[in-house]
Amino acid sequence: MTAEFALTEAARGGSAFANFRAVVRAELLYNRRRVAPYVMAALFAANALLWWGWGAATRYGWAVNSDYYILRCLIGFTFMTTPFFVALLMGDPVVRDYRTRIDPLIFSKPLSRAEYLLGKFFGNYLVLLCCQFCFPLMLLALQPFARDGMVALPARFAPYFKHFLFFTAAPSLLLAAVCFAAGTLSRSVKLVYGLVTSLYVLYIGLQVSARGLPRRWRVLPDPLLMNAYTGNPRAHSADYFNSLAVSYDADMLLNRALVLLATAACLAFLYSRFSTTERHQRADRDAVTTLDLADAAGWVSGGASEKVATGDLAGGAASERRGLAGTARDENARDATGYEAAPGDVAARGARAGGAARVGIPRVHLSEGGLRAGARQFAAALATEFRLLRAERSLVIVVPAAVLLSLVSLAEFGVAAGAVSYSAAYAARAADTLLLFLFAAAVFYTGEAMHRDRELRVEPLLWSAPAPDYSLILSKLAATLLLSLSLVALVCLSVAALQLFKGHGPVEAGPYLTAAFVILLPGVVFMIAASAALNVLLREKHLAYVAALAACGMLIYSLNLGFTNALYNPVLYQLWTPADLAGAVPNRLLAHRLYTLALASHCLALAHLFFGRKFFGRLWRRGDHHGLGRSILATVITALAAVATGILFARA
Amino acid sequence: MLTIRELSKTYPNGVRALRNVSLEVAPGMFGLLGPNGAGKTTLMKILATLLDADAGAVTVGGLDFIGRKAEARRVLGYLPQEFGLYPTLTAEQTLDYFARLKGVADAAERRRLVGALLERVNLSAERAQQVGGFSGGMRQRLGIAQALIGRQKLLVVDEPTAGLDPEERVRFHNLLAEIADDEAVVILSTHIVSDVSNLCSRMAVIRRGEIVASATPREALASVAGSVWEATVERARGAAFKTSLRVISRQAFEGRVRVRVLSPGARPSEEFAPAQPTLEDYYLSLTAGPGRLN
Repeated sequence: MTAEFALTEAARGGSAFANFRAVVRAELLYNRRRVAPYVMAALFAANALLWWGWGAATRYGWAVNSDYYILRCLIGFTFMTTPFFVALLMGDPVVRDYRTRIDPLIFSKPLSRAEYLLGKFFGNYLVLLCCQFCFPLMLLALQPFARDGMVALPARFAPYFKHFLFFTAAPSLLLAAVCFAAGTLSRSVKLVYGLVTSLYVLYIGLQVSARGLPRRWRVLPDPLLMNAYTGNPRAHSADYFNSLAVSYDADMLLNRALVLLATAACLAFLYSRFSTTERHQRADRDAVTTLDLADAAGWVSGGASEKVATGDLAGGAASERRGLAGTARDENARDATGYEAAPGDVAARGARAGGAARVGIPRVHLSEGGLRAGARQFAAALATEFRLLRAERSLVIVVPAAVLLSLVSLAEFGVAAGAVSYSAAYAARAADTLLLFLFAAAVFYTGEAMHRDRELRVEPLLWSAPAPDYSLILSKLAATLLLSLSLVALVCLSVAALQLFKGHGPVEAGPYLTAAFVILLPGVVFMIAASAALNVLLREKHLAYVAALAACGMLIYSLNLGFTNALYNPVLYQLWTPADLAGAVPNRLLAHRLYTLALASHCLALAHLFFGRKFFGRLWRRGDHHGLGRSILATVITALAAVATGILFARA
Repeated sequence: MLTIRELSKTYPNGVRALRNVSLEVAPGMFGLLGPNGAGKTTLMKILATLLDADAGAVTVGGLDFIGRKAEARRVLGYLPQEFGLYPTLTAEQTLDYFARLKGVADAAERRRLVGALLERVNLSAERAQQVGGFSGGMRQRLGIAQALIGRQKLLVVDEPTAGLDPEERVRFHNLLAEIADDEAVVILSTHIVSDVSNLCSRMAVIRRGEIVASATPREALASVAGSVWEATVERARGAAFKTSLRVISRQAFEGRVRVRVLSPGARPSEEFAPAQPTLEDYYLSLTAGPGRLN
């Protein structure tokens, strides 16, 4: 009776808020068991630690807990980390339900769209906030500690919370709503990442183009409020910044009101477009039932054996019992003992009855293995992988974004007279701009390619084929490299066209080719190979993304700290100049590229060695060492090659 | 001839999926029956060279399927229980890709083969259609088409009709029956008895990782002939039989319950009448009850 009453109350809508709470709680529980939030929290805390101890404060003599430095850190942190981490948490929540096919179970419950969407949104946003809050929390916790030469004001608490809410939580809310709406409506997480990438590019473009505008027009439309307080650090003394009490002016408050309004509009748009019923497209596809097709085509006519059990409950009940639905009984075939005709014969006879339509499968010659056959299989796999890569919807955004990014960086580009040739200057600028973008694309598409077979469940079909491991792995990497090559070619052509358009001719091919084939592509090859090795070793796509991101972050950070040894900078980030592109390529660069390629081959050998198709522990026990032995040998040889080329480079 | 000897497999979580499984299978269609979780898919994966056994041997025509995987894959066709296809490739591109991986190097030969396979599984009209738009039945047919590429000595078909509607299932049976020839061993793993009764000349029943019976369907029926009894009774009474009789199955029927029991030689009680034994009785007597029928 009590249960009935409770159910009735819920049905009347008395517990609408309870439904929302239930969805939020489910999201929190789900995220509690995910690796991603913990990794994010750890990364953010580590970031705070770095900026506390080795950031701008120590360089300029600012107090690490001054209002200005807290705000500056939060703005930088939000700009650098927000987009992709927000996409990671907020693009997926609803798509996940469709992917795990739990959607019909949820949508058949008395749960309104608003409860569902808001529950999903705020549940995940809360997790995001908690992760992000690790950054100011770490800064706050580090206040009592100080390194040599570090300035610290008396301990304070309020600014960390206040500025976090104003400068991090608010813009994250808007971006979270955009990512959530895009992911939910498109049901594609990749599209969300693409959108975030393009927003990033757009935002940088706007920041560059809005430089000359009055402060008000730079503050009002800027969700990150980058221009509100950060200025030239050398314009004032450290004491000035340390004593600066940050307050929010009317423009900033209006900006935050606009951010909240935009968030609400985004969620309202999502609510109006979101439907819990099947999409038309999917319904249409499902409508092409197997029965329709079978009837229309009448395939493999089976004559008498095509009879379908009609579910005669009196006589044939056994065949329907316990879900063991009996079908295709040929009653005529029963003999006196009740034996259901020679099993196998029934269908075969039926097939013979319809034998006129039977098509023989031609005998084919199969190659007997070996390198030549492996090469052919590699070519086949490469063609397929590239076709699959081309079908990635994210390319619609990534390709224009790459071109746009390069062109925006060159829009107001001025070449110092007599420094290098125009082509070298343009190619260098484009390569510099494209470098990180290209690496991100390489890491992302390698991850996608490496995990595609498992996600689409094609793996058992591929792995039971007699194709060698190297053809399966290398094809994925070569396809990603081809894509990168296409991107580089497209960007080079666009930049060359811009160079001509700006009247900085003539266009020389040499610097562009050097930029592409010496600066960019060896680095891309390394990133692809390293990403492949990470994906094979970690066996989890997102973990590999985070690891790659962390490695890149550490590289950039260590470079900024002055660690510029090229041996641990295989991508040559910031270790070349435009002058290297003009004329003959310096031996130093060539030696470094050789070293990079040797490292890449070592990563490939590692990926091959630990490829999931091998069961090397078992193979070892059983004495089938051939494949494993070759893999280990390749790993050792490539490691030696990397060391040798490293020494060669150091001497050069 | 497929020979499986003393095959054992224990997963890292401690589940013993296979316990000393031994089988001799002659060319033709062989059914492997068992309830969910019996170890069928584990056995199929080992046969398909995708999983390693802890102990034991698998040979097909003398070829060691565990130690020489690369050679084994050349004579293997595999249709897994769950599989996917690249949604953006067409049916033709998909088969062409698998044919190339299988080692069919000649382009003209490959074209002929792909055309014939598509014709055979009646997907010729959809050859240029992207696989992402295919129904379950069409995907299953494309799956069997890819398994038929090459010169199989062993064709492993794992739960091929799960999820298909009855009509599609019948047609799938016919296709499988056509495939079985005198050269190849076709292993059909299923928990659907009628799949085996319709297709296979020999069968084995696996339960909790052990082969509990191996027989022809005729032998299987003979083993339960005269032992199966049936009664239609009130529900409460039907439930009570569980304690006193070896109940093979109970099924709701017109508001009452139809009970089939196994009682070799003697009528269990007045309300029971002798029933025509079916392969399902045999199977259920092996898998549902605590005892065995050996």
